[in-house]
Amino acid sequence: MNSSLAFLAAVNLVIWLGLFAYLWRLDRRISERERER
Amino acid sequence: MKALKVLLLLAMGATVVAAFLWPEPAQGFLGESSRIVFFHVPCAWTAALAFIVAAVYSLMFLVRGNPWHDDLAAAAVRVGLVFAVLALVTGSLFAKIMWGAYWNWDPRESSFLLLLFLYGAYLFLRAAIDDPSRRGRIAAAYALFAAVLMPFLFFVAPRVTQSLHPQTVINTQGKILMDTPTKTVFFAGLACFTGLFVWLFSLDARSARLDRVRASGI
Amino acid sequence: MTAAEARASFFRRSLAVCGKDAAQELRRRIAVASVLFFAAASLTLVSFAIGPFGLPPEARERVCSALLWVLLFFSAATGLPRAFVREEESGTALALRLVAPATAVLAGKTLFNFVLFAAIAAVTAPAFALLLGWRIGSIGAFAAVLALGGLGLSIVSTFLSALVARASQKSVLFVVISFPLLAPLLLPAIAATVSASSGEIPWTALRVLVAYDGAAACGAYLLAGAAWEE
Repeated sequence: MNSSLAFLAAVNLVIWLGLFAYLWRLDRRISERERER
Repeated sequence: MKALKVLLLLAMGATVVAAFLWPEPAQGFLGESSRIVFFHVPCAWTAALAFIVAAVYSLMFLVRGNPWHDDLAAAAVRVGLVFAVLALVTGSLFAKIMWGAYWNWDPRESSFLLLLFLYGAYLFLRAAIDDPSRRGRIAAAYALFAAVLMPFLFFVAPRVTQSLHPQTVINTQGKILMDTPTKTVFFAGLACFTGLFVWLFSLDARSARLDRVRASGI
Repeated sequence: MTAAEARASFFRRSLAVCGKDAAQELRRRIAVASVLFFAAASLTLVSFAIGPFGLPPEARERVCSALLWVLLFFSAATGLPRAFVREEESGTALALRLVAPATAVLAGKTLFNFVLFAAIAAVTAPAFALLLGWRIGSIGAFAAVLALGGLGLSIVSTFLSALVARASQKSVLFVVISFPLLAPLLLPAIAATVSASSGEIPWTALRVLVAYDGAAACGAYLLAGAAWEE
């Protein structure tokens, strides 16, 4: 297994995790606002 | 809903790792450059899907007049624009490695650039109209008119000149020219990006609806 | 409008709208004057910069075809959007909505814009060819490309003109929204002009132009109500 490819995969995974965490928070905040109405 | 999002996260993570580590690099491509197919094609597919979704909701808005459909159509275009930019950027990187230049006026590149202009023009048009109900109606008319002319953008223009673009998915043989690991990761990527699109698109539409309700409330 | 006219067919009403626009235009001549002035100005610049001997012979057909269509596109963009903008500016839009259905208004204005485009092209294209020393091999094919391209340009421009009529920043907006829709028309038109000027008849490109014109006409007809009615 190529180590540089594994490194790239790890970096990608971190970026995707960050994106999903952000989306998760955004989703929760929008849901809260919707419940306020 | 929560379970679906966790599932999407796990599937996306697995696909991303597999995209780098599982399939062998494809024959006839420089080095590992063929791996970009797992990111580039889903972006292009999602951008095209977004436009179809926008056209469908535009039609529903014109028929029913429900402003929520207008929010959905506009959200589809905004999210589609992001994916279209990503498809162009990843395509340019691949073009630089394979063909030596970031931009070659390849027919596929040209029609995607026009799609980008089209999305931009749609948002420009929306920004220029103040009255919300007229904005929705005019934007829907534009999106549907564009959808009518879309075949010329995508199917006629690429046929006029020869393309360097790899023909592994869209080709005249009507087959997908990939080995099994590549095919598996490729379709998993398509599915994950479609799921991501649905999520992003619904978030954007819901936030647009909140803005609209707040604006009409004051 | 009398009751007899109100009962008139779609075509009669379209012709009436076209005639009304023509009469208005003959009185004020704003659209014709602005388009002609724009065409003359750009023609002067191109001709001054290039002249009859400025292009190598092998590049002439390609460069001239592209420049001609760029000139026609921007000339059209200065004149054709006036179709609906004028109605909004003069406050006659509401009356027009009452007396004729949206499809007839759109068809009439498209017809008028096509006549306007044909008049502009009939002056511009020969002048362009003469000033740049551009010999056109097949005049018939060249005229057919201009007619079909002009028809598509008129249909799309008139429809989009109805969309931008009540927006802000109309003229910039018109160019922005028309370019991506007209590019699939202009690119085959330029290719067809290149082969027409070298004496061939570009059947494939002409078929593409006919198909584009047909699709644009259907789209404009179906969406006329959404674009124009309140």
